[in-house]
Amino acid sequence: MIAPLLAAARSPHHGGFLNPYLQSVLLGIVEGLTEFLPVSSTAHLRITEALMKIPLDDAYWKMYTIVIQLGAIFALTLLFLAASSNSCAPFRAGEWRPQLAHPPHFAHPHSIRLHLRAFASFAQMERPAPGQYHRHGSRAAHRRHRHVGDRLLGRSPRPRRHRHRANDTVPGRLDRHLPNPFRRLSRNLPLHVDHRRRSACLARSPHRAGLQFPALHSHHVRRHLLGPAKGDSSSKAAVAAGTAHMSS
Amino acid sequence: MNGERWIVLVIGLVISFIVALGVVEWFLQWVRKHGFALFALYRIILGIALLIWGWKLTAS
Repeated sequence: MIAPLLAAARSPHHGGFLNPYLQSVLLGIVEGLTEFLPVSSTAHLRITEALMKIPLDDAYWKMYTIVIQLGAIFALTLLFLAASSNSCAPFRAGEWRPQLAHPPHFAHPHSIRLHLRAFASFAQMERPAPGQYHRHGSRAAHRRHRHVGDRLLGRSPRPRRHRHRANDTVPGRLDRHLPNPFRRLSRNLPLHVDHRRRSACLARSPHRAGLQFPALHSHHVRRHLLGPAKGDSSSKAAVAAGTAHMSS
Repeated sequence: MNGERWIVLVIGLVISFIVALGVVEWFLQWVRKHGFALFALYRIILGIALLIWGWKLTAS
């Protein structure tokens, strides 16, 4: 079926087998079809190029093979634009809708929680079986992952080796175990202190900025994120006290 | 990079963009119905075919 089509498209002035525009159309179709199927799109492109007698070691065609994958990937970003902007929405709601804040010194109740939970389950999944650490990266990295996961999921923390610095950012001890991008993110999460939006960093150590309100501690945040710890009957009172503390 | 080559590249980009737009939705539906087994079969057959082809190329 394709052979007569190819013959019709043959162009005498071109070194290859086909008119390059038609080659490009065919390769574009192959790329669009295979990029999101569980088969190698690069391999299919190269096979198609070989069948069309395109020189595989030609610099231009190598570049072409890589660059047209961008087309297919842009299609994905367009299709999932709505979904991906949804996943950022909780942060925006936290920032821009302080009337939803609950308790008042925090942003939207579900915004941070959802993301941290997602991160926690990720951290838990990363854990290899005991005795398999050497296969999957450093032991320290796994200790860190396990620690973060445990803290976020409200499990009893394992003994720590290092003391945390007193003036860390809001998630405090937790923060120290987060990888850098998450750390930066958590520092800049909006919190509402005295009905004003503050960055988490500022809420944790207001004295650095010459502000008077009392510092927000990591256990406030943790309780807010995870709910009362098991067997902690005083936590509700503590949160209430914390709230009063904040707004005083 | 002359003009023709730029045009060829842009054609490839646009076509792959359009085809992928259609294929992603369709593929998600298809996988929900049929699963991945057929792809495994396809890959095995293609792999064997490529091995034979490569062997013939090197032999000739």
